[in-house]
Amino acid sequence: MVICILIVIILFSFHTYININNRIKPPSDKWSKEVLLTESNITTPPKIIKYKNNYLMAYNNGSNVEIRETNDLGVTKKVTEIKSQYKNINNLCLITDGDNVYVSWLNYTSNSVKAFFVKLNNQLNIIDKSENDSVKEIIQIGSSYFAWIGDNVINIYDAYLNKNYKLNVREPSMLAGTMAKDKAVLTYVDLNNKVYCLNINSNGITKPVKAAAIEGMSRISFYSAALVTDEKSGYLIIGYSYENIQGNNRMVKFNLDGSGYSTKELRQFTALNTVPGEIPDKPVFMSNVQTLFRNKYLHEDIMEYMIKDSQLVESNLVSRTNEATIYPAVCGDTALFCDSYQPDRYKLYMTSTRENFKKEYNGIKKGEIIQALNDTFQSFVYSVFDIIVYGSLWILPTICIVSIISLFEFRLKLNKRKIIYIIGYLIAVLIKIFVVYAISFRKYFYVIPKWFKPIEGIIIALIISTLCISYGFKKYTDDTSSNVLVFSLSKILIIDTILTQMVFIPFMI
Amino acid sequence: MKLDKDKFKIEGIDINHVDDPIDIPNISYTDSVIIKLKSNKAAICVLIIFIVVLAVVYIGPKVSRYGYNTTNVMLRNTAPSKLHIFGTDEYGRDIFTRVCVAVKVSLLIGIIVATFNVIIGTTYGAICVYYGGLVDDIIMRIVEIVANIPSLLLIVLLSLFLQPGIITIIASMCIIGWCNVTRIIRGQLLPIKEQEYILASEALGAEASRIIVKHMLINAIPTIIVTFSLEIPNVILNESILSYIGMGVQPPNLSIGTIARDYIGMSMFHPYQMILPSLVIIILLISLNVLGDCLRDALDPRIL
Repeated sequence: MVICILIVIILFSFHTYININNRIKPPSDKWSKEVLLTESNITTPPKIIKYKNNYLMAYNNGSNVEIRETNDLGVTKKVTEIKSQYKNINNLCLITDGDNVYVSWLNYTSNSVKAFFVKLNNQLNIIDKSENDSVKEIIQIGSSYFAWIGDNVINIYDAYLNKNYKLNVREPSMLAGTMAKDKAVLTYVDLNNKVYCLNINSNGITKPVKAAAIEGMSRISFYSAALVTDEKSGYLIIGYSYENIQGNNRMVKFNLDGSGYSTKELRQFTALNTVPGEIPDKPVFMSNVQTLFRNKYLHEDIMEYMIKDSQLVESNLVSRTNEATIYPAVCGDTALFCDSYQPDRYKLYMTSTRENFKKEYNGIKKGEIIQALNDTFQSFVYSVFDIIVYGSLWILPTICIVSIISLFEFRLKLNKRKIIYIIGYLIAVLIKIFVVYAISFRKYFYVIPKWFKPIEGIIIALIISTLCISYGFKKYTDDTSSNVLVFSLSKILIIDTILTQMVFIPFMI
Repeated sequence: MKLDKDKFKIEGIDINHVDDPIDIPNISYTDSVIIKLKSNKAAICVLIIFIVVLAVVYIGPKVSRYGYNTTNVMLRNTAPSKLHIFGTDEYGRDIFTRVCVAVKVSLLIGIIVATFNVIIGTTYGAICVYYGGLVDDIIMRIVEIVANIPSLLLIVLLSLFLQPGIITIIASMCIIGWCNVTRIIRGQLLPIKEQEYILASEALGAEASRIIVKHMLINAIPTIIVTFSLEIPNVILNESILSYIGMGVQPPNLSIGTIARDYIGMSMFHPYQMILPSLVIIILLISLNVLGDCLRDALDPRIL
């Protein structure tokens, strides 16, 4: 009994150690651990921009828009609240001209769409506010451009130069933009589903170039577009719903000079929020996708994607929280994301690739230790109950064989009984090792840590069996007249199985 | 007054034949079982049917010119004929050969699972009764928990570790099936444990294993045989349900469930594709069940 408890303690410590090591890791080598900024009722993707030496972020709290200024470590310096008349805040945008801050959003009411434009000074006090009833869609490009769709017109506002540009287009839609090295690139889709591309720089806007076409179907409706570019090409990720099911994505690659394009369905990529990675001329996206944490926990996290050879390739995980993570927002080396932890309640987190940020937040947190202990405890509970499906694969055949032997047990002498007991247990051990090897080290090899070799697993299983058999054998031989082989063996076999499962099942569950 | 035999009058019996031996044939238990079985027309009937079905199922595919998965597009949906006794399906496969193979597989699964269940169930039923107390409580609680796991859920869980197929379905039905047998055997052995000869054996120093095997299980053999014979159709039926919904035997392997799944869609246009295999299955299951019932009657010493 003492040995059994000791083995359980050793195994618990072993798995807790592994779980702690896993939990304390940052999401990736590139991105640091997150820092909580606030909790809020967020209904639209937040935005983040660099503002002087700090960061400014805009997010909504129900019907109010909040502007938060933090230093580069995410420590809040100032928060301003802008009250909105209406509840449904969408398309929140935030730009700056270097001194003043411009915020805009759309309010969807039952029969109309209202756009609000708010100007704040460097103390984040409101100095101007306006409304527009004709705006249908609004986006920000980088931290200094607004682009919005009006009645058959696209308006572009350059905050740094304080210039407005207008482009007459019949019923444009799906605005998308990104920053290139010395310009901003904007795409839109016209009435005939043709994608047009234009550049915005200090000289104004260029003439739109027909870059691509997107083919729709009656059951498809497009709902989002995110654009990134490299030196020659533009990549447009278009999110669409098919028969009202969202999460389908299509990538349109086009030459920036309009000389050709190709379209590709991204079947495995089921992101709902995709945003450009904000690295000029580098085709990087950020999206919320389902990822496997430690190869076994399916998390909704933010992933950074790179486009390599026209393929979308997973590059770095940005978040690693337990809750469903959505709404990525990025500004250079700093990103925001939201965790849904209650209906209508989100935690807003900040993360970064900067070394000072990593140094500050990549340490061990109390919550991570608790989470690791919780993981271990949970997996141990599963280990006990998995005896029905995992352990029974060697318990049932062994019991069946030993039951038949037990019919002749009373005819055997003590020595033969001892031999039969050991043979019966050896059968169980052999089947156990085969099952453990076939399932844990072959079928689910990817959940077992790389350093944990099959031979080590087999040795551990053998040690457990040896300890169990020596105890069980002693108990059986102490009083063979009142013990039945199958009953004595099955009791100890169940203990052996539970202990063995405690080694291997926690890796799988 | 001295009381003797002459002072009493025995009523209802011919006084001259009181000391005559009773005219009951001196036959063994096994002989009585065979006699009872032979005198039961239903038993003989189903036994013959069962043997015929078994013979056809095992000999059929060997004498048939068609493989169970051999397709022939020229012979799609052919009605039963001399060449194809049960006709052909939409791929031109011979339904008779397929049914024979399916019944063979299902019977094999039934026998394997029933054997496992009866061996494990009998052992633990006997252990429960012999040790009683805490041992009985613990085993019976385990039985209650395991028996209430839906086989569908278990097979889904097992699919995490094993490939769906014959082994998985056998494993899942063995995990659950022994519980029912344990209950039956325990119920059967409980009154036996209270018999004086068990107490006498214990008093004489008999070992636990000897008492369980020689005094308890020996008296439960009729129940074990009947349980085994009734367990086979039960397992076949469960297997066919699981295979029918796609969780059991996987194509191209065949079982009764996969046959039903394949041909149920054709019941409207080519009813023979469903009716003929169903008839074989029904005959098999009914004969197994009736045989089990007849065996129960024959093995019960209280029924003359």
